[in-house]
Amino acid sequence: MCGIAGVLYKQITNEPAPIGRSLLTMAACLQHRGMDSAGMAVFGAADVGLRLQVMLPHPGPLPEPQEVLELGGGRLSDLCPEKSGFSAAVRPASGNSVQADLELIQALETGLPGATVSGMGTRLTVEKAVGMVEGLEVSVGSLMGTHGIAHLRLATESKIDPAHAQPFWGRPYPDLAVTHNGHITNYHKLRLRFEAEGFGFASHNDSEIIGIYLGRKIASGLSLHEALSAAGKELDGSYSCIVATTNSLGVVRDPFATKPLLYVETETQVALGSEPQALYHLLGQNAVIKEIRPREVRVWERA
Amino acid sequence: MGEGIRTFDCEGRSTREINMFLQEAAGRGMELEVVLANPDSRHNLAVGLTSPLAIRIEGHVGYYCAGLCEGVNVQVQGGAGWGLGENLMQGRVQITGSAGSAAGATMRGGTIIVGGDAGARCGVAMKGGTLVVGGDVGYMTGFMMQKGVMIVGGNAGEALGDSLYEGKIYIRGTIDALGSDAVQADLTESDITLLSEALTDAGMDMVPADFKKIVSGRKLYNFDKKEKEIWKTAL
Repeated sequence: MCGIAGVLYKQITNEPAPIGRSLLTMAACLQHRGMDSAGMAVFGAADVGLRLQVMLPHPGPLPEPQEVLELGGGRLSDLCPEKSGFSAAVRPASGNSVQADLELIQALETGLPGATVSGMGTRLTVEKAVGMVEGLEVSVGSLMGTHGIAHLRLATESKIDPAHAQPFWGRPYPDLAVTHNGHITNYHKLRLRFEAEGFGFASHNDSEIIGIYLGRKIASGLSLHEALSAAGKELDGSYSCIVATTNSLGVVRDPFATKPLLYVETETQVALGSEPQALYHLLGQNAVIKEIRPREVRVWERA
Repeated sequence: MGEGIRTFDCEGRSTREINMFLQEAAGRGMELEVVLANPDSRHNLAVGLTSPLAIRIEGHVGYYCAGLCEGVNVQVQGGAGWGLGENLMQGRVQITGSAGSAAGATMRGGTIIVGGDAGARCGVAMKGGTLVVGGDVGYMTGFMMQKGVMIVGGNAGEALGDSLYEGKIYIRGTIDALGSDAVQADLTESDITLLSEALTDAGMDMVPADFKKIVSGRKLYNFDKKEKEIWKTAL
């Protein structure tokens, strides 16, 4: 099964919204759809400069800062310990940033055994935990921002650890995060193709391919809507997928639509969820719930 | 005679506790009306009841509400998730709101009424009974329907009535696309009578003559696997 959710405040205001709290409210209602791990990706209201997040395999001593800075090849600074590892400021690469960022990720993951670069962006924060959604209360509960996505995982074909939990970011495309309920059945074929192009993977979870796929399409000049339409044609399997970028929330559903995805749109916000109770709990019992149709692509932009 | 109304507050109770309460009430017959308060879109409410019972649910329900039932009368004041009234044998299930996918799947008898829209695969593999949807129905509605009557007050998504064997689908609005071997037929006097009675029963103010009738073209009855055209259009 798996449960997915998303929320976006449509108006740009000076008041950041309690996105973390909204996602936790919805996720608690979807807990029964997946209890193996939980994760959320939240976009903050302010650009804090490019940062990356690293998850370490077990809670324990952090690596020596000097070692991390050396692995970063001069691009990292402002190291900050986090609940599941650390974050760091990243100096944007000159020239081919995709190649440079792939090399930076590889250097960190090779140099720090078991580490995973779990997110990168100027506004994006990704938090994941094995087990129930309560595991995210501390790290996500007070996160303010503009929009975000959440996932409750029922693992079906890859292992259960934080690196295999969703949401996945668009590795190496910053400020792009994806969550999905379903299976991408041509994952292995696409992965081989992307690996041949130099892309790296943090897991063996088929969901990870979606963020890379979309990031690659957007980098080639497609809009998010066009990239999602392409995904709907090129990704095989049964899936309902939510993607978040700097200013948008987008969805795509496969033609057979056996994985649920519902939404409510009000004047001020859009909320998405696998099951109605998540939306009713967030927006009240009078919320008017609609379904994303088979093959439908939809994008909400912040005004 | 009657024992009146008994209200059961679902809040803080497990789904098993709620369903055990309903089972116990059903054993005592129709003179009892049960009200479920605070259902909170919970899944699997009022399933597997095979003795008559009137149940009013005050709020939205989740997946599989009133599934596997025989002889119940379930009224939901709100919407429902997937699989509403799945495999209903006899009785009546009515919701004021919209239903998720597969409403009335494999139902064999009784009546299911959805006030709003219904999702994909509505009435999939119906084997009898009457399914009335006031609003739109989703993709692949009536897929492999074998018997029974479906009435749709709104529009239908793609593949309406795909590969249906028997049964009748009446639809008032537009059809994105008919499914394989689903064909439109003329309305007869008996269709008008049937529609008139069913719409009145459902409390829907619609004109029977505005409906189109969709039935099986029966070409797939004798499916020749060498016929390339059929392969091309098969889903």
